[in-house]
Amino acid sequence: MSANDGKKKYVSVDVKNLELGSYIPFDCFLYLPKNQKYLQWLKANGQYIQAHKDKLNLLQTGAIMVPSEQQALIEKYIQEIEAARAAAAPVTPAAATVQGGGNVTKSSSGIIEIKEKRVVFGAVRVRDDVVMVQGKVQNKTELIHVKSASAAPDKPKTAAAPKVRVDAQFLNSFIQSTQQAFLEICKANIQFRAPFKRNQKQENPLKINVASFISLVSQTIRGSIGLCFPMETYLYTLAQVNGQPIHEVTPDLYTGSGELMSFIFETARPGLIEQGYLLERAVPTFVAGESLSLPHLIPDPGFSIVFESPGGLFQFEVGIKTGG
Amino acid sequence: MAAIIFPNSSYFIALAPTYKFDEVLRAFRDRHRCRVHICRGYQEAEEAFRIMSRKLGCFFFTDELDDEGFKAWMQLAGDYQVSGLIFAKAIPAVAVPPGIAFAKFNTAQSENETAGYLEGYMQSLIPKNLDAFAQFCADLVFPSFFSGATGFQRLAYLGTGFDREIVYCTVEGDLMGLCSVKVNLKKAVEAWPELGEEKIIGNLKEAVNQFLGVLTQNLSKVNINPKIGLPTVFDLSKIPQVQTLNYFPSVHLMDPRGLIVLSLGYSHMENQPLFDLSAISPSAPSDEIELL
Repeated sequence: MSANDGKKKYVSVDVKNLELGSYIPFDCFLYLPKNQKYLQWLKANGQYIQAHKDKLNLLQTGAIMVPSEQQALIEKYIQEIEAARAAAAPVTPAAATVQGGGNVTKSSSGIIEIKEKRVVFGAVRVRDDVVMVQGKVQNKTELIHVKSASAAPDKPKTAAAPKVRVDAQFLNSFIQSTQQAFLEICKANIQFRAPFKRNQKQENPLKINVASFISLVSQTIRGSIGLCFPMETYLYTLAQVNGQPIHEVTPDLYTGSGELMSFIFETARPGLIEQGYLLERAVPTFVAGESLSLPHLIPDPGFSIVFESPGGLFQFEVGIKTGG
Repeated sequence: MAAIIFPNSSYFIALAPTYKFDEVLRAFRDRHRCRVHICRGYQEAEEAFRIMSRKLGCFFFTDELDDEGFKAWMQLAGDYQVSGLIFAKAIPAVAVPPGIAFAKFNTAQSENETAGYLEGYMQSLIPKNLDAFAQFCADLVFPSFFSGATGFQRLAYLGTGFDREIVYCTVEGDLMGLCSVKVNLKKAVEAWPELGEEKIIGNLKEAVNQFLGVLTQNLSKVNINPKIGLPTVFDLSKIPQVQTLNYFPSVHLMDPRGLIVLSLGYSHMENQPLFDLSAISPSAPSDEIELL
């Protein structure tokens, strides 16, 4: 499809199956039929985040408009995405089967959701009451095929068994998503130091002024994670987000620590679910004050990880109680 | 410096070309501890609408607008399917999108009237009848832990003067709940000297846990079965700022002595409508839940 606003020509690109967190290297627009104009949706080299997906859902469209002169770049990009997806998720819905049927629906993102607990072959993502099969759904026929298929593959893949203890993989997931958050939101490379136990005495503990927390809720583990900043590091982080120096933090700006924590958690969560930590969604709480006491805020045993950013150190905390 | 908009945070957006209503909007923000983003012009508003993923409501102050300007704002509201209020002295002859209501006021009393409409809008974001359920559950559970703590009364918004806050999250899929209890610990020790500070905090944790347990059992009548997270205790004398990224429009209940305030609110992560409890009545738990 192509359209013309009188100046520029646009072509439409289907982004229904685009993964959250992907970078898009070209300007994207949304066409608003009511007022016949184009709304800037994402600038070149922007990241596709939940807010963008929400916008698409709101406007009930899975298509974005891009300037036609960028078509070659777009086609190459789409091919790369498809190739990466094919490599990462070899099981397609057409090959997936649902034992005993089930209430199968197609979500707007092109993901098939099977409500009720069913054994699913080819499942790659599991929530406690929803089994999801990732892959492209071209049309309703395929959806029906998934629902009615009866032949099981030779080696059924099932979701990981629920985990009740945290391990290195659990910590690594948060380390990676913290690094990703800083790279993508703050445009900063950060390094981490070796994790240590939370009850271990530190020589020079950080003086924490701003912190955000998420309460972990699942069938198997409960606990908290925390992102804790000295003021100097937080000012640097905000300046990186804002693109200009910030010398004073007003109460509104503490929200930024919650945003970062939300990104870290939502980035790590799908991988953790695949590992067997069936974590529910969560909303960060954030606090600010002079020399916040971390043991007071996260009382449970666990691990601390110090990160080094160009603007100073900060700390990530994991406090876990087993049992749901 | 322009205000930074955080895309995953919840906002009320006010489109106010003049500064006339800033004070009443700030008072609303401070009363409810919510985020209100004020836009002066169309371009600024369009940018805010584009970035924000969680728009709790939009308040249009249209006195200074001509019909064309009014149309443009309504177009914006329609494009983003926001709900909200239009404040106008007279109702313009322009179509408005669904979800947008008129709040007509006269100039002489505009500030008070505006505040009243804003409060009414905030109340409309709370699940229907949640206050009755919360009151019932609080009256059922709290007297077991704090003698005489029955007859919880509803507050329009949170007061001040508390020094501890305990926060619980509940979650079922995309439906999040936030329950917090605030206490004036010093006065609570005077009221319940047999308990002491530590025991009061311990009892509060358990009381809220059981409050949420009974409430959850009641919510199961409308097919909602949330899980309850661990409590986090904040010392408000050391941590004056405790906020959440999402805003939870809440009911607030206070015990008759004014020492304990319980707040409970819900938010849907995908901006879907919340549940409605108006067709059912609260009831005491079955044998499955044992109260102390």
